[in-house]
Amino acid sequence: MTTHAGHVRPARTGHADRAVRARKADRAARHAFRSRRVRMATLAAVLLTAAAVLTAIEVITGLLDRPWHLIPYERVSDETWNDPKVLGITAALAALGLIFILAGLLPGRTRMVPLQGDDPNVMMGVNRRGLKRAAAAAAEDAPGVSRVRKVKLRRRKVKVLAETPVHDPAGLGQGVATSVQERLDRLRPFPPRAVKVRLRAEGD
Amino acid sequence: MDRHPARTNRTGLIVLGAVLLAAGGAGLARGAGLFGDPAARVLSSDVRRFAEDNAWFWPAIAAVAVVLALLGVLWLIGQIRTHRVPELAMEPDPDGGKTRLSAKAVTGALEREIEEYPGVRRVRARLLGSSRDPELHLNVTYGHRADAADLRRRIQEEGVPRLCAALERETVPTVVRLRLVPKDEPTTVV
Repeated sequence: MTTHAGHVRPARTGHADRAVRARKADRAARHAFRSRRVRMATLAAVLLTAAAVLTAIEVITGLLDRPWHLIPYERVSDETWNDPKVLGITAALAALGLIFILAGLLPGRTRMVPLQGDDPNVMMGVNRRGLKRAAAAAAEDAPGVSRVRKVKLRRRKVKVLAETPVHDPAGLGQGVATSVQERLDRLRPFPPRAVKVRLRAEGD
Repeated sequence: MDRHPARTNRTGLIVLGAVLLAAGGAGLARGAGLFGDPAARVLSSDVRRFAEDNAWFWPAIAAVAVVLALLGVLWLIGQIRTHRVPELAMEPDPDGGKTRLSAKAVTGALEREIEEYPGVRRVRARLLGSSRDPELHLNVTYGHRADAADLRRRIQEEGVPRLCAALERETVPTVVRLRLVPKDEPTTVV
């Protein structure tokens, strides 16, 4: 391992180097496909804008002695704090606030599954349908499988439910699982997924 | 990495949520009698008197409302704005003759190339970010007959390097979204 002197090009990407690069690539891909919370933020921004514009119109027209009176606030302002209407409004405000906080704190859902790569500059992702289809196609190509009924995608697991014409499918599942796993290993979803196959006899 | 509105959205949602939760929670607590008199009016005579005695009260409220409305509009605009690069400067040296390359020409060529790969339905390539540090965003939809792993390999080993070469760069940060679309999706029917 110490006689690299004769090499024209120094080994730029040693083993450790490559591992670091791959880890970086994983992180980049995961980061790139994280939810940006666009939908919830749009909702919040619309609500904020609407409420602020209504308030501004209400107050400014009131200051100019020509109130438009868009908000029927007197229906609430003369009620007591423990009036059901007031309680309902405050509860709704608190609930909305809680929803927004949770939307900001929880990681959110993305429809893209990041793929592992060796290059931190290229971040690839495939949609869930694509990953499921790849697993199903691999299972369909495996010997002893007539039809794939269902593919379930979990965070670290892929479950395949398939039909077989064989009456006693014991032991067949292992082979199917191996070919599905091989296909997934080519695509390399992140995090890596283990494959579980269940075979049913046809017409069950 | 251009994940443009991600951080703003996160902060905005948490701040707005905290304000709403605090206001709503305080109102609920008041109504439940945890503090103050729950049978008091929402706008008590004290509050009204305070507003009448202080001339700045309503203008201040109006100013705050206007500022919040502006913030809301900016936040909304932030969702749709993408920093698309119109053209790229090929020579960083500003004294020499400037060569400018239309981003459309580069992405168009890449789109046409990837569309030729087997099973690919539609490709959209965009260069985002700045002219100096552009970032490629590739959306590829493919049909059931394509092999995702193969597609992935070709994009990574053929398509992206060709774009890098066209831009005369060693690497261009690239985000690729591979999307399988359902079988025989009627794409032309509106």
